[in-house]
Amino acid sequence: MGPSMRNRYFSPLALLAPLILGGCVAMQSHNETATMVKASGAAGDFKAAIAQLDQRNPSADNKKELLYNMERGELLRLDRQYGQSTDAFLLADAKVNAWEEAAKTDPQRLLGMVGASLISERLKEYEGQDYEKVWLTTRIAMNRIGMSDFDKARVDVKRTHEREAVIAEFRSKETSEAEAEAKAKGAQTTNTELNGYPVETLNDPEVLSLKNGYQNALSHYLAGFLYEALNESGLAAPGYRKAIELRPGVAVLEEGLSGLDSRTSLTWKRKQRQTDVLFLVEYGTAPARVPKAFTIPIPVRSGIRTVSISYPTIDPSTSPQLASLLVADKTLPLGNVVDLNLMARRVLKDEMPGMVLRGMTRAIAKGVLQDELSKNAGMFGSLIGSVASVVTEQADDRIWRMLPERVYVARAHLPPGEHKVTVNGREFGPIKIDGQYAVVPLRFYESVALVGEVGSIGKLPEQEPPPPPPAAAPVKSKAVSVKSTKKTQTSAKKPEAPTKSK
Amino acid sequence: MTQKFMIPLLLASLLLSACATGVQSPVVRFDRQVNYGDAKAVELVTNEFGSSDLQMIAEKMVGSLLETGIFQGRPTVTISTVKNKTSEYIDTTNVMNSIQTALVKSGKVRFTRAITEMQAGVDELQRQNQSGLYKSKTTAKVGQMTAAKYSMEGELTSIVKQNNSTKDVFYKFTLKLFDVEEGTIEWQDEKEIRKTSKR
Repeated sequence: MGPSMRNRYFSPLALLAPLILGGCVAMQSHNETATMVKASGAAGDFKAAIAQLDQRNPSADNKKELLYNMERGELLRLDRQYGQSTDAFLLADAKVNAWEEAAKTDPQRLLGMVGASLISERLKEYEGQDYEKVWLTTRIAMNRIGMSDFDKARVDVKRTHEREAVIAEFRSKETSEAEAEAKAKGAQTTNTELNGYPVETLNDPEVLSLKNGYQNALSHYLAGFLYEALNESGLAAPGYRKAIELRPGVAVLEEGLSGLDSRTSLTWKRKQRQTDVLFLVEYGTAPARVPKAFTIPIPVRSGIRTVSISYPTIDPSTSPQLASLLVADKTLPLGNVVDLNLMARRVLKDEMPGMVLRGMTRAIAKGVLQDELSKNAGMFGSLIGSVASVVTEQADDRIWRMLPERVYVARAHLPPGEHKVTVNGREFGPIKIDGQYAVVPLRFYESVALVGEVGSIGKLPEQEPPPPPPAAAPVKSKAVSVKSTKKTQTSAKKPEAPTKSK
Repeated sequence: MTQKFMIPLLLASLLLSACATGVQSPVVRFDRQVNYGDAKAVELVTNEFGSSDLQMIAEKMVGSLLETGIFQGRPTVTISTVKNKTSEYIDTTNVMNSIQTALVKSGKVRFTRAITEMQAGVDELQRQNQSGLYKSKTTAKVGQMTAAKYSMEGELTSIVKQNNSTKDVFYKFTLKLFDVEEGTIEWQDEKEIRKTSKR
């Protein structure tokens, strides 16, 4: 065997061996990890869930990764360890900051990162889905609100707007480049057909109705609420307005904007005897990206060779919608402001054309490689080639799984003190509210109903004889009193809410 | 002969330059290039509301207000509301702060606390009068605030149009000065800004 002959089959083997061996860690399925973590925390034991996550990410390098820190931060938040949760989120945030910096100053570097995916999509460094980047700063803000640090939360809310602008600018550049490249190559910009792929999950009218795959109404409504609580109505208005634009037809969001002027007037604030409470009800966990394998024929020198190719799929949610929240004898309608299943499918839809193109390129390369190995190294080479092809060909299933699947909001003026809250027949323990504004986070996670830390800001004015209640309330139109309306209200319950304006 | 003069000349220039650098603040610089720029420079990074827009609005409003001669006798003015009717997170308080700063510096008008600043004033009055910490002679008396003769109200609106290649944003800032007692508009002006960007 001459040197040239040795090189001919050793070089592909040399290329594949480290991929098979070293790739195993990088190729680990996040879906499997998340399933194990979810099972550990299903009964509310989040320390066990964190231990499980750590076990699956043993190295120091793993613990610096974006996805690990996002998942860990969320688990710590579920365990009400807001300080540590924020620390984990900030580690993840540093990675997103680096991405933002590159997107602003050197977008070509990010656009060129697809090279790694020519072997496997999973070998690409995980930079986070765009909506996850936005969620990250929103989550940090929510942690700060839980610790009643509204000023720092304001910084994170402002960073969220700036982050959205960077993402919008970068995606716009990316689209332009893709269009220009397609035009130069004479390619069509339509999606490639892939037989057997559940295309209907991506072409769902609800998925298509989303404005984009990264902005969510919760981040903007929360921004509006926060600015309002900080007495900055000029900034609160666009927050509420953007939330309505992103999720039109949700009454709670519309009432946020229409009642803003009345709620922020000095007259109202001097009369206010009840806390303006925002309930954030989170349900379930974010959807999984499940790899689905396809076999496609690839023409090679010796004829036609079948190569395995894998793409991620996301199943539509089948869980029931939450309808209302019962508190202090009031039934408040819950407005669904975020659906991460829809957002994740929207992102996947936007990613699909590029992913299909890379998949086809990869399949051709692997087909040629297998053919070469088969010819030069016989059965053994062919076997190695097939194994390597299957091992490396696994769709990228990385996605922030511990986030909720859906988020609902409800808002009402309630007397300060302890309240029991019931959502869809399930009770959340006594919740203490106080101050001018309060944010109450609630979460349905697997089989448990969790209450987060309640954040509050401002003090209700000291006692003065209360004037009669104004005509309408920001959430009153949707709040139905369960008990008789004839019941005598105590002075602490008056006035209920300010008059709507605009 | 020339060399004879050259050496003292060089020494003198070195001494002078050393003196000159001696009065400058030291600069700490790392690998990243950071520079101070002109705060008044025209900013054209994106077509969203920016520093130049804020400055243009403030300049136009202050100039127009001072031209009217309405501020004879240093009347009192308060800032009521500045509505942001755009979908952009624009801190309209900043625009009003710039207008207020220029007007206060002109010496032709006195400003009373705005609604958003009122709570801090009330808190301070309560601290002085109710905490028992202060000499009664030195405390500010409750009920002695001067009410404003005029109230300033503004709003910022925008119209955004966008297609595949062009984004056009039209901003309009309107400012009104009301006589609080009579409810009449005593002055009003507006500033329009159009910004267009191409992809």
